[in-house]
Amino acid sequence: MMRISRKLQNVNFKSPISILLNFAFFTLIFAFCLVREADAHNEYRLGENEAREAMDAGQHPQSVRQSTKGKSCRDLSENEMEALMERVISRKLRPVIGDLDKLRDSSEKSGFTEIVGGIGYIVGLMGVAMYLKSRRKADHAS
Amino acid sequence: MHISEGVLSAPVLVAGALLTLGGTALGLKKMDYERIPEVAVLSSAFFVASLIHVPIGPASAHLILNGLVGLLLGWMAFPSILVALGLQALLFQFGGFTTLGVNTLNMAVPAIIAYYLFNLPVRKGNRLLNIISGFAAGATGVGIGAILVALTLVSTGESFFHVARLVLFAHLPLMVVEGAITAFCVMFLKRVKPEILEVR
Repeated sequence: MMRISRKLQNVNFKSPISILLNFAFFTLIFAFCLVREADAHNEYRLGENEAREAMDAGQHPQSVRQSTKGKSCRDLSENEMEALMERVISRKLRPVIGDLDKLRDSSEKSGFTEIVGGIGYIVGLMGVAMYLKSRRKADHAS
Repeated sequence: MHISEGVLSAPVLVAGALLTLGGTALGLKKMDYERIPEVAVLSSAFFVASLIHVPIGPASAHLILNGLVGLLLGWMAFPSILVALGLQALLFQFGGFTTLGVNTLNMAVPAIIAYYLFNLPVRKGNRLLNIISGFAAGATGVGIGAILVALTLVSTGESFFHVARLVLFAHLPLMVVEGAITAFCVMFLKRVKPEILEVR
């Protein structure tokens, strides 16, 4: 029993250090999440600004709308036509661009799942290393 | 500070990989059964710390903690950092697998330098000396890391002083932060578990 408890002490599972390191870990992960949230918020704001810009740009053709009212296609000048098409295309594409932005964000941001997965990998590797070393130890003993 | 794939030439990559292989073998040899959990915990701390990006001015920097890893692990820093960087390359596309050797070398060599310079003064001497050397270890880890990255980039034809100045200046605030964190950790460890600092 003595021997077992000493061994456990050596392995550092329940020592203050492991508690400290665990604590440090979760603090780090928590900080990471906070920073990520802040980032996301910034980006959301940016997106809003962009949307406003787009809306401003979209307002320009309003005048065109007035001037194109009641005219047939042939009567439109090149400028009017261009503005009209720009308006329609930007309206149709807005959701797609939003989706693309979201997709890019989600692929660039490292997620909580990956972090926990990575730590899991490391713990697994630790297990493998300890298993191999313990076998070697047992061989030496026998 | 991760160097991406496709930047470096093949000889640099191969040299980095070979040196990392040697360091890792040495580190694994020095790794006792009892120290494996410690190596793993520090490896995951390194893994997580690199993911927290703190915006500094126009760029953003992240903690590296290689000074602390070196101080506590000595040569075992090599396998520890290799595993963490490998997983970062796998899960987050930081760096890449061809540059894994070079990146590990750039992070682990400062760790070992910090170990050789500051492990003894952290263990012995009075409190003030301990704090100062803890701080210096953290700052050394980042500073020498930055210089090594600059040196590696020189092989691509950039002028050394230009790159080194850029990288060093960008990491100056980080050196201070890391130094403070490392000093804090070291003082805490000295109080709760001083024998952890004894690395062979």
